[in-house]
Amino acid sequence: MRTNRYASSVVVAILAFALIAGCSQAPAPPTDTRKANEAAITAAGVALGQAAEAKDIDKCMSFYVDDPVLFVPGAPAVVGRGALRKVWQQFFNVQALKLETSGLIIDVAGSGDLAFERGSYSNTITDAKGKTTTETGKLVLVWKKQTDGSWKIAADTNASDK
Amino acid sequence: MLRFPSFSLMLAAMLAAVFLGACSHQPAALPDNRAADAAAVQKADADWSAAAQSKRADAWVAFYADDAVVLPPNEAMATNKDEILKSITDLLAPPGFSVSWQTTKAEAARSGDLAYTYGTYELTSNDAQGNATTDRGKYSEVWRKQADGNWKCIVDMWSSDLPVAAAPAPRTKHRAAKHSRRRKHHAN
Repeated sequence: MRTNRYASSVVVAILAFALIAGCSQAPAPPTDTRKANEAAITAAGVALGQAAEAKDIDKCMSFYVDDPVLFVPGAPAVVGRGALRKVWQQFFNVQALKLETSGLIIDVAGSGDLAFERGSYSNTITDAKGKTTTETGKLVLVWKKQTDGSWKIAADTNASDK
Repeated sequence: MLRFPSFSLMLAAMLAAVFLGACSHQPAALPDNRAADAAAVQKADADWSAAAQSKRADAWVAFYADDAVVLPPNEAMATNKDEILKSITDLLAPPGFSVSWQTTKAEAARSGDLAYTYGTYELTSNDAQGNATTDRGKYSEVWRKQADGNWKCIVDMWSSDLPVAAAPAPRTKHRAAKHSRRRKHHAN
C-alpha cells in the first residue's frame, strides 16, 4: 500500500510536471516574422527598382496598394493609382534611368501588417539628348501586408537633398 | 490497493483540467485598437501643429522620440537630437514665420506599436522685401508608441508643392527641389 501510494504520487507529480511544461510552451512567442517580413519588403523594393529601370509600368504599379499616395518635391500630393501611373509614365520619358538606394532601414510592426522603410536614394537620369544628371534625396515608404501575404506600398514619399 | 491508483488518476485528471483550463486562456486574442490608436496619433499630430504656433524649437522637438530622424527637403537627414534641434531652430528662424498642418490620413498597426500619418502644411514667411509669402506642401510621419503609452514621431519628412521657380524665400520648408518634379526610386 505504501509503495502504491508512493507510485501514485510519482504519477501525479509527473503528470503535473508534464502539464505545466506543456502549458509553459503553450503561449510560445510567435515565431519572429520580422526578419522574413524585412526580407520580403527589401525584395519588393529591389523588384520595383528593376521594373522602373526597365520602364515596365504595369510591374511598377503592382507594388502599390489600391489607394496609394506619392509625394514628390515640387508638386502636390499624387493620390490614387491612376494619378500615380501618370507620374511614373512621365518619369519614364527619358533615355535611361539608374535608381539606387542606400542606408535603408525597415521597421515592421509587431503584428506584421504595417511597416515603414526610410533611407537615401540616388537617381541618375539620361535624357533624350544623352545628358546625364543625378539627383539625391531621402525617401520614406509605408508598406502594408496584403491578404495574399505580399507587401505593397501605401505611401511613397520623397524629399530631394537640393 | 486499487483505490489509490484510481484516486491518483482522479487527482491527475483534476490537475490536468486546471492546467488545460489555464493554458487555453493564454493565447488570448489581441484586442483591436487600431481605430483608437489612429485617433490618438491624429490628435498628437494636431497638438503638434498647435504647439508649433509658439515657434519654439523645444516645443516642436518634444514630439519626437529619442531615436527620431528628420528628413527635411534640401538638406541632409538629421539623425540625432542635436542635428534635429538645429534643423528645427533654423526652420523656425525666418522673420514672419508661421506654419500649421492638418492630417489627411492616420493609420495604426494591429499591434499598436507603429503608426503613420500624412497630410498637408501651409507655411508663411517674409521674403527679402519683407512681404509675406506662402508655401504649401505635404508631409509624412511615422509614429511609435512609447513605454508610457504616448505616441511619438520617429520619422518626419516634408516637401513643397510649389515648383522651384515659384518658391519664395530660402531657408524654409519650401526651399524645395531644384529638380522639382524629378522623382526617386529605390532599388538594388
